[in-house]
Amino acid sequence: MFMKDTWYMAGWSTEVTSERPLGRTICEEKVVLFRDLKGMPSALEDRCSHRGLPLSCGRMVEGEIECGYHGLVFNGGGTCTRIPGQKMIPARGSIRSFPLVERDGILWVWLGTATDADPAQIPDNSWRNDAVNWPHREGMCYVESNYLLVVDNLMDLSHIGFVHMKTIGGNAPDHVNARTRVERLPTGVRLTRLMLEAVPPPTYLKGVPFTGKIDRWQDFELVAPSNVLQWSGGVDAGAGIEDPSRRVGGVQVRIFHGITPETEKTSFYFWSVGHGHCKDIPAVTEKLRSDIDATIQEDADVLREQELNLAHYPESAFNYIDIESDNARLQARRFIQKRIEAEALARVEKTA
Amino acid sequence: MSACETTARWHDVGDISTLSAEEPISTTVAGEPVGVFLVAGRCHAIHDVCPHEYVRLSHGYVDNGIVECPLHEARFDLQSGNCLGGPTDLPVKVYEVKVDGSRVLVKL
Repeated sequence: MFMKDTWYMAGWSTEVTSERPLGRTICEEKVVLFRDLKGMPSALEDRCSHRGLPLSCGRMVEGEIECGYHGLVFNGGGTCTRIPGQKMIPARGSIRSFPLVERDGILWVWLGTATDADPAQIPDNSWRNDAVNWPHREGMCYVESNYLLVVDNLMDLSHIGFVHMKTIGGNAPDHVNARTRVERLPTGVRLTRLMLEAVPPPTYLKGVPFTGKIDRWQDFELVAPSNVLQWSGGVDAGAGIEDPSRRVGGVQVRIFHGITPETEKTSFYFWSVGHGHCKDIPAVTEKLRSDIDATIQEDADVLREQELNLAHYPESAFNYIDIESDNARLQARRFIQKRIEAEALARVEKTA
Repeated sequence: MSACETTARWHDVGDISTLSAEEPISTTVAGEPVGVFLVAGRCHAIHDVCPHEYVRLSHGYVDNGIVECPLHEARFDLQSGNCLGGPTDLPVKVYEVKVDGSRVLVKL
């Protein structure tokens, strides 16, 4: 089940051009993405109104998309502008277009009721527009699991010492002693972990010459259903990092986790990582990129096996336990479930 | 009177300044998990584990004198310990609590 009245990341801005169309399945909807000659991006249903070939099998002709079967042409609004050998274009020749917004180098698509699409609800990744103060890289990992398992993974950090033993999970004692707080927000859930008076990890010391202990924070804000805005870092101990405005200087890392369901069993895991320290050292940017790339692949390997095993031993038939660290995960699941139910109810009321 | 009650005594669980409506005290006293909550200026102490599935109730959500379990939404009245709904109907034990100067004391 998916929320439809929400923004999903359809892709990176750089993936979509006026040269060739990009077909992508999002929440079981087939979508084709392309740009016109002015660079304006569009998202249409990926289906020719004539014989149903995916339009993404076609080609771009002067900023419009030409079907690869009989040459029908559609513009960015989904209007059929040409039928070869025929003057009259039937009104039913048009195909559905989806609201699409380009922001922070990200294309956001809205699959639900178009009149409800409010760009103000798009998760804030404005740091990605400031390459000087937040040098960053991005990537995508294809995950063979339901998107909610990916959200679970991000909302329960107790997996870090086990799944990411080889990458980021090295300093167990500080993680065990972390103070965890889970807040319910109007748009989702925020999970905050504070590690006060911690020993700076080697990766931090490489970037910033801390001389004593540091206070570390990890802030994961889930913007439902499946975008997580992560802000992590560390500053000299005693700065008062409980107050986010005191988290200044030191080590600063931001990660955007954009989880977009493809089908019920597969997901796109878009990610972008940036740093607010050592801003002029490209090697730091590259190291973060390769670390996050490897870390997310470790998650994907676990999630694939979990998806397969939950198909074999489903949650509906086996009484799985919940443990203390499931707090944020369960808040997130309930929040998303309530939104899905509210949407279903609204749809029934609209049609009644 | 049971042996438990005759041996009960007051235990210092922290400074009142560390306690707020948002942040309960989550501690262990004489081997027992104890949560101390501040509701409308008054302290309440309970056995801090949900009777349904293991989790600290002090990590849950407090609203209007009621704590909601962080896992499955069982709700407990902080004054009586009674369960008000959720996947269990068992109550949680409540303890006497007092403030001496700035120190919070719990009896068990």
